[in-house]
Amino acid sequence: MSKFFINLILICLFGSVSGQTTQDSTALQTPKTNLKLYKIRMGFDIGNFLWAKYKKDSATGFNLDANLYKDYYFLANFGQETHLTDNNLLNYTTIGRYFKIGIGYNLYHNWLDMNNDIMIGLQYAQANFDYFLHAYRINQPGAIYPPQTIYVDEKFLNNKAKWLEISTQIQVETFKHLFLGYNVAIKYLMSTSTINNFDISYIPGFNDKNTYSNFGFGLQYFISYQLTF
Amino acid sequence: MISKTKYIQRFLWFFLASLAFYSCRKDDICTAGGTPKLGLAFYDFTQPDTLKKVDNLTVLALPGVDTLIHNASLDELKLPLNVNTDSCRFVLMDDQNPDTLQFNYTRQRAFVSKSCGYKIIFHQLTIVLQQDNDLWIKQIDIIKTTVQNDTIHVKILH
Repeated sequence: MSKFFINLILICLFGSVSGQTTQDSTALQTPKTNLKLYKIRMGFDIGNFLWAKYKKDSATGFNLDANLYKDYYFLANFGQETHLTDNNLLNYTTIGRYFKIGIGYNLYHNWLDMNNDIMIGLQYAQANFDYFLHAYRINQPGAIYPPQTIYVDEKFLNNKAKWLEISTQIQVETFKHLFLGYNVAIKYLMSTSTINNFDISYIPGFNDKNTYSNFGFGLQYFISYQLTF
Repeated sequence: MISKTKYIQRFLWFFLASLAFYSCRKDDICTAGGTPKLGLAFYDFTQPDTLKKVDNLTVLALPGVDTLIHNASLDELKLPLNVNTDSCRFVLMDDQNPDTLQFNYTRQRAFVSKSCGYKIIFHQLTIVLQQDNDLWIKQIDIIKTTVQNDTIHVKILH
């Protein structure tokens, strides 16, 4: 794990250094207007992966973007998550998969041979997931006989959710063809399946669903590699 | 024509603003409540439609003998039933005269929300008044045999 961090730090350091030198030597030159067409990048969601590892959960997410035409990109994400929720009253695990597809538009035009972008995106997403209830404690305000923790093994399988995401995403080329980026997304939950005697709470790819609101928020730090040259 | 940087700026401001609004939403804390309490109301035995206060009421929960209410003057009482078993007992004392009530019921688990978890709805409520030489409780009328919200479920005449 520490080896990974050292590598990451090195990437950041050298990435910024090499970026600096190109900028210095090419300052005040005319901006390059045409982007390279048919650029395809494949990325891995490193931020959520590490955060999940730290919490003893798991989250593996991949993202793909392909430059289709001028500044327009095809965006796709897919992944799987295992997430434990323990809030004193309920203890359950969410296991599921998700995918997201959509269109991105690059707002940033590079100078010369730089290869960075700031993208806005609209994506449609769908998740399929299962809940495994391990234990619960009855909620009783003012209890004099304290409610016991009851251990069960209940499954609420095959739940579905659909949502839309508006995002901004920044990708910076550090080494040649290797990018670091992050993605901030606001999500709007359109529909979910219903469960008898349980409810949709955590959704893989969406995060926690608030009881009072259909909006969600997501942050991704990813590392991606350009497959085409 | 507005330059591209203007567009970027506009969009990013819009995005930041929407993030600010996102943080204004309600926190997911439990407000819907949990298991309802059993509501008892004390009525006059001679005039069964008028509320009558118990002047010096003490309520104990058995078997641990937890004092729930001590020397109060009340015409209404809320009791938290035991969610772990199908019955529980309370001692209602008027002055120094204890009467023991046993509540029997069946339990149904009902999901409220993620932050509120599960609650219990009590069905088929029956009450057994343990006989002794000096009962201050004259009559017990169960109005609602299902306890699913905080209202009055039982009328006690004294």
